Amino acid sequence: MKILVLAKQVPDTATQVKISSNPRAIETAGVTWIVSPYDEFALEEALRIKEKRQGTEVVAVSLGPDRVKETIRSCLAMGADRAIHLNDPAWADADTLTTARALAAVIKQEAPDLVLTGRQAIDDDMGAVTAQVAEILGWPCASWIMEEAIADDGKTVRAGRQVEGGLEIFDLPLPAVLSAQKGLNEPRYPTLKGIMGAKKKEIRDVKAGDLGLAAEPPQLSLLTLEALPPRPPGRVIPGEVKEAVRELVKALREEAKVV
Amino acid sequence: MDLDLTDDQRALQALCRDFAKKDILPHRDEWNTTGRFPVEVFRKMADLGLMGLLVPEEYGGTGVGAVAYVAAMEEIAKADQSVASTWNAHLTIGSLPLLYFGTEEQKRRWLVPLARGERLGAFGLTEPEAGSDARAIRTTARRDGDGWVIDGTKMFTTNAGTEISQGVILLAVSGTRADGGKEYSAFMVPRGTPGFDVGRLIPKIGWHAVDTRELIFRECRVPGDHLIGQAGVGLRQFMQALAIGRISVAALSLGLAQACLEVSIEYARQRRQFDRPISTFQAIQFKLADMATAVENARLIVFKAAWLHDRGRPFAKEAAMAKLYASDTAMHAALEAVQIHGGYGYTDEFVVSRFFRDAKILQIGEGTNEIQRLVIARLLGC
Repeated sequence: MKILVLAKQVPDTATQVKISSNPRAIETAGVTWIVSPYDEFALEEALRIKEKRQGTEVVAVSLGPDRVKETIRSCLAMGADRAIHLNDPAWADADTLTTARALAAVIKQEAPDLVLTGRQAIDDDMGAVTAQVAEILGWPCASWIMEEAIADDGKTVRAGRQVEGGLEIFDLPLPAVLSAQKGLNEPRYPTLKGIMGAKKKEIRDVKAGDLGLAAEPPQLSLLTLEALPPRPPGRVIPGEVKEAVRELVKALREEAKVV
Repeated sequence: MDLDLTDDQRALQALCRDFAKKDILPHRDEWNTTGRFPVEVFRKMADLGLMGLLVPEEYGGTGVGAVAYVAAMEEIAKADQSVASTWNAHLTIGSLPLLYFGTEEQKRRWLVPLARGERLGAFGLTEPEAGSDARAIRTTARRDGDGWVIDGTKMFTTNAGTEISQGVILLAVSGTRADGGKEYSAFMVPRGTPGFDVGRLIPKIGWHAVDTRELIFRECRVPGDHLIGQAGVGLRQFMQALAIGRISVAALSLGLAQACLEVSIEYARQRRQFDRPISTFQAIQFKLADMATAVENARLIVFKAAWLHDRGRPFAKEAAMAKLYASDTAMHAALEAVQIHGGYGYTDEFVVSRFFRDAKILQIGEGTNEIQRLVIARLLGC
C-alpha cells in the first residue's frame, strides 16, 4: 500500500505574527517554521498504518520555497520513507486551487491508495485544499476524521468523522482522501536515529513543468493583510452597587444589545 | 566563520524543545514539589536516542558532538534544572570515563547500557573532606589477590540511588608513589556490590528532583577488571572527564539564564503598575537589556568551547571560562528575575523562585567558580 501525506510548513504556534512592509505578507524574519499540527496527525496516522500493514510506503509531499526542506526533513525524521518537494517560483502566489492542482498532479503520478492530510493549515486556516484535491481527482473524501481503519483487503477504509456531539462513520472505497482532526492520534517525536537517517532518504524536487502545469494567475488574489483593530478599553461603572447594576443592565441592553 | 547550527543540530534542538514542552513543562512543578525522581522521563529520552549523545554509535550512543549536545542541553535546561542536571551528569562524567579509559570489554559491559539509556551513570569524586582539593580524598582501594577492596565515603553523588542507576565510577587512593605521593585509580562499583551502601537523599536548596546522595563503602570488594584505565593515573583521568563536563554545566547554566530572561520579559510586559506595563520603565528595561546581553555572551563562549572540543583543539581554558561565566550569568539572571517579579517572585506560585534556588549550585558544582579561575590562570601561564 502507498500513502501520500500532504504537509504544509507554517509558522510555529508561538510566533507573534507581524505584517511585513509588503502588506500582502507576514514578516518571516525570525519565524520558526514547523509542520502544521493537523498535518502531523495525518503523518502519524500514515506511519501507524505502515506499522500494521507490511510493505506500506509513506511519502510526504509539501509545496513551498526552499525553506520547506526543513519541514520535509522533519517528516522524514518521523518516519516517512521518501518525500516530494513542489518548489517552483511559479507557485509563489499560489491560491488553494493552484496548490490543489499541483498536488493532484503529483498524486496522479504517484497513484497512492490513500491521501492523508490535516483538516486545515494553522497559518491561513483556509481548509480548502483537501476538498479541492479530492474534487480534481474525482476521489471520495472524508474530512475531520477522528479514527480510521483500512479493510484487510485494502479496498476500503472506514472513517469516523467528528460531528456535533458524536461520530459519523463512513466506508469509502480506496483510493480516497482523508483529512485529520485533532484527537486522531498523538504524534510521535522523531528519534535521534530518525533525524540522522533522514538525510539519506530521497527528496524529489518537482517543478510545475514536470507536472505539465502552466503558470496560472491565482483566482483568489490576496489584496492586503490588516491587523485587528486594538480592543477598546473596558468601562468601569462607579458608584453604589444598586445604581451601578442598573446602569450596567441598561448599557448591556441599549449599547451592547446583548440582553 | 559560521554561527549557524547544521540541519541535524537544529533538528535535535527542535526535538528537545518539543520534548521539553510536552513531557517536562507540564510535570516539573510536581517533581520539584514532591522531590520524586521522574524515571519515566529518562525512559522516554532513551527511546528517542538522547541518553548517549556523546558516545559513538558502536557503543550504543549517537555521537552527535559537543555543539549539538550544547544546543540540546539549552532546551532541556530551560525547562527544568533537575531533569537537565541528572541528564548532564549521566551523559558526561557518568559515562565518558568508560569511553575514554575503559577496555573494550568494560565498554561493552557498562558503557553500552548507559548510552542506550537502560542504566543511569554516576561519578564519585567529592568526599566529606575533599571538594576542590581532589587530592585530599580518603577513600582507599587496597589490592587483595586479583581484586580491590574499597573503603571510604563519597559525598553529593548524582544518579547513584535511582531505580535505573548502574552504580558509580569512583576515584580512590590506590597506593603510594616512590616519592611518597599518593596514587589514584578509578573503579566501577556496580549497584548491589556487597559493602556498597547507598545513603539517604540529601535535602537541598534546589535541584529537588535530583538524586543526590552520600555513598558509603565498607570492605567493598570488586574484581580486578573493575579498575578503569591504568592504576595510578586515575586523578588525571577524572580531570579529563571534568573538562567536557564543564562545557555541559555551562550549557545547563545557559539554559537557566535564558529561561530567567524569557519569563522576566513576559512578566514585565503583563505586570502593570502606575497605569502601565512595568516593561515600559527604564529601571526594568535596563535589567532586561543587561540580562539579555549577558545571556548572549554566555551562549557565545559556551558554543565556542564546544566547537573547539569538536574540532579536536585544546578547549580546557574556554570550558572553564564558559562554566565560570555562564553560571555567574545564571545566578545573576535569577536574582534579577526575582527582583522583576517583586513579591510574586518570592512565592512558589511563580517559577522564578525555583530558578533562583536552582541557580546557586551552578557556581559550585563541577569545580567551583574559584577553581575555574585557577584553571584559567594556570592556562594563561601563571
